[in-house]
Order: sequence, then structure tokens, then C-alpha cells
Amino acid sequence: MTEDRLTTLYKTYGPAIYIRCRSILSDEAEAHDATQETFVRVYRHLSEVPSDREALYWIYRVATNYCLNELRNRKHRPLVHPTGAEEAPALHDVERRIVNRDLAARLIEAAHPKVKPVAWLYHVDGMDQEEVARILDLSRRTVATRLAAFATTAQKLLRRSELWA
Amino acid sequence: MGMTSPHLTCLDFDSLALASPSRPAAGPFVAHLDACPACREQQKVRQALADQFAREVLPRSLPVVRQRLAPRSRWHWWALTLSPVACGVLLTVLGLYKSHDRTVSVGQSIPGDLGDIGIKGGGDLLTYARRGNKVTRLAPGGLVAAGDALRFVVETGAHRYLFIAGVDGGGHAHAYFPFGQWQSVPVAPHARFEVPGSLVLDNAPGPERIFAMVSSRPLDGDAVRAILEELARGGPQAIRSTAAPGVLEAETSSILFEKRE
Repeated sequence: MTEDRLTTLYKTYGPAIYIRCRSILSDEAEAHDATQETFVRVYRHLSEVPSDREALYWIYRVATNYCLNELRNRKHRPLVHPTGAEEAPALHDVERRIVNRDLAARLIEAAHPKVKPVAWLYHVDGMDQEEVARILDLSRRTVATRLAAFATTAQKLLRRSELWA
Repeated sequence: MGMTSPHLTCLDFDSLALASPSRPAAGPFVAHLDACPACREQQKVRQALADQFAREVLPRSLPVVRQRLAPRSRWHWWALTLSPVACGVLLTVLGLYKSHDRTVSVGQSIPGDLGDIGIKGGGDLLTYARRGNKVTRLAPGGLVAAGDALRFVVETGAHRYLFIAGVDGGGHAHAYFPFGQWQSVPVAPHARFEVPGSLVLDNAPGPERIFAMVSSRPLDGDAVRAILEELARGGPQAIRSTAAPGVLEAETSSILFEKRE
């Protein structure tokens, strides 16, 4: 690949990478660094994929994992504060509450590393299980299993949280 | 559109943004956008970020990306001069210095606004020398020879920009990273950054000092160049005695080489 090709690819896909990183990290400077890192990691694949959609799958996979790791490395305030015991709602109620993107992002911080990208793509980005599976190169069954695990964790956290009030 | 949302997903927006006459967009995305004010608003927000990328992120990050993706042989050579290698001339590593460079050199004026400059830890310069197949980390008092290839690793600390330059006993200042360019390069903070490429020592007379400058913002390349050229003109004694060149807004580490016959 010539240098011009690299520049062309970066100009073409860089905006999508940057927007992706900004949406997860929020911080502009961190998103800048994450954009560089993501492009370096996906560059080889961008040169080989047959379509823009496939290129975006690679970008979303690498950027999501990288940025969620960066979030984990940040210091952050506790997600929930224990209160008195309350009756846990049914899981489908949890799903409705997770429609709130901000709440979802906070709950995802406490999730298992393997669950985080699945939960983020589904609950925060609003993608369906099929697309989540394609982006992360997982089976749909694995996606469903991890979403179920996340819902269980979220239920427990919400039960203890002041957010029930 | 995602099954969990009646609107376009971020993936849909990105696919739409990549659309062109040679990359036809999916019809449903365009149709939805025409009918959905919320998604049109979201598209404006995303376009503003894309514009910011083109305006601010791309120019600063493309050189770094290019450096990292450049094809490399095991050792990427670049020479200070075209002088042939002279065997038997040894150089001593006299010192490895680190300073919080808040001083101002004589004759320099203080920049107007220092209020929001944060100088934090970072900027340690680790130097390795390769001779043949042997690589050693340099420490004060260590010996290197003309022809040895030096590689640098910089601990960036909390800083996001790096600039490596040096001065030699011949009265010259050189920009080493980025090579030949008087400007800072973005680097990841809280990392050990391995500077791409290596520096081949030549047999130019007198001492040589190399500075690694990390900063929270890009340094003024012209100003740094002026400072280093003035230092170089000060001669060997100035180079030996100046561990920090007086570049404000930077944490500076340096390494001094002295020729020994």
C-alpha cells in the first residue's frame, strides 16, 4: 500500500472511527488517541474487506473494545449505593429501564469484560442481535447468552440502587 | 435500523456517510431520514463531529499513524551526516538528565500566558545502543562508538506530545523526531513510547546532546528551533552545561555524548 492509499483510507474511515470513540469516551482528547489507535489496528483489514459495511464491522469491533477498556481504566464514582432490600422487578422491566442509554452505559461499566461490548452494542447503540453477532464475530446464541447475563447483573444492581426510588 | 430502536443506528448513519456515487447507500436509510426529524438532527450532530475530525484530528494524527504503519526493516537507519564511520573513536555517555523546564534562558522573554499550562510527571528518556547484534541500555559513563545505532524510548507521563531534537559540537541543531520537522507529534499519555527509527552516531567533533521534550500541547517548533540553534552556537561548553534548553511548556530529558580519543 502506498502512502496515498493510507491517507485515503484514513480520510474515508477516520470520521466513523472518531465519532464511535467520542460516543463511548465522551472526552475529546481521549477520543483523539483512541481514533489513532483504532485505525492502526484496523488498517490491514480496511484494505482487504469487500464492502464499507464490513469495514465498519471491523471498526466497531476494535473501537468498542478499545474504548470500553479505556473506560475501565478511568477512575469513576460507584455506580450504585446499597439501600434497603426491595423486591426485584421482573427481567422485562429491567429491559425497559435499560432503554435509558445513560443508565445502560453506567450499568455496563460493572459488567464482565466479555459482556460489555455485547451489551453496549445492543442496549446503547440499539443494534439487533444479528448485527451485534456480525460485528463481534460471535454466534447469535453467544450474543443472546451474554445479554441474558447482563440483564441478570443489571437487575441485581438496580435492586440495590437508589434509582429504584 | 436496529430491532431495539425505531431509528437509524450509528452503524446505519456511518453507512450513509460513506455513500457516494460509487458507493450507493441503502434505500431504507435514506427514506427513513427523510421521514424522521430526530434522525436528521442526529445526522447533523454526527456531521459536525466528522467535520471536526477533518479539521483538527486528521492533520495532527495522520503523521503519527503514518509513522506507526510505515514498513520497517529491523533497523531503520538515518545518519546525522554523510561522514563515514570511524572505528576506534569512542564516545562517553556523560549524563542522563531530567528537568522540569520552568527556567528561562538569558535573553528569552516569558510568554504571556502560563496560567493553564500543566507540567506533570513524564518525559523520562531511555536510550539503547546497538552495535552489531548486541543491544544495551545506556547509562551515565557508558561507552558508545561512532556507527552505533541509538534507539529511544520515552515515558510520556501525563503528556500527549513529544518532540526530540539535539545539538552538536559543530554548532548545529537537528530535529530527530519527527525527523527533519520542527514540530511536536501526538503520543499516547501514560505510555512508554518507542521512537520509530534509530539514530546513527557519527564522528563529528565535540559533545552532542539530545533532548526529549514532552508537553501537554504542541510546542512552537520555530521557537524550539531558535532556542536550540542559539544553544548550539554557544559551543561545546554551553552544550555540556545545559541539561534543559529553556523550552517552556515541556518536561525535558536529555542525554549527553562526549567524544573520547
